[in-house]
Amino acid sequence: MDNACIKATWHREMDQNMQKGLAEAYIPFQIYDQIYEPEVGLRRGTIFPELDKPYSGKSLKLSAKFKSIYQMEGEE
Amino acid sequence: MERDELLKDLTILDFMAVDLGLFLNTHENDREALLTYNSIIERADRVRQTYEKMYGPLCSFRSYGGDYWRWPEEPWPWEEEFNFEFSGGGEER
Repeated sequence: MDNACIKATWHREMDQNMQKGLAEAYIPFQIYDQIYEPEVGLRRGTIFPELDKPYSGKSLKLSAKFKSIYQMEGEE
Repeated sequence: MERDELLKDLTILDFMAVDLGLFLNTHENDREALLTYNSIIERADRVRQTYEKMYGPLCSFRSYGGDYWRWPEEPWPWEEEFNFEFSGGGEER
């Protein structure tokens, strides 16, 4: 099984098993996959594409439900 | 190879080693990551030795001394003129 396949399986199992209660949080376990070309890594500040998340001042993924609950406007 | 080239290669390799080291802190048996980490350390060591032979020590300790002690030579690694230009960096995706 290659890493991409392990990754997919692992995340599926994780989603099924990790039924967290209120105020319980978990961070998905990173699975080794592709890394950036050396120079790109230094430029981006990480060699892991899945961790390349420049700070934008807002959440990358806010669900429509969350936005409607908090009545946020002007967000992507 | 130019001094700036060597320094840039070393910086890139050392950065990869740091980032892979962080990954390995929580994945101590990940064979693929370990292999990559070890090959990067090897390459970084080679580049560091080449650099230091030609241009002098990068550290005030743990670096080899050559025919004479070159550490007092300027510029020192924290000085602006020591470092290479990393043009076009910092742009957003």
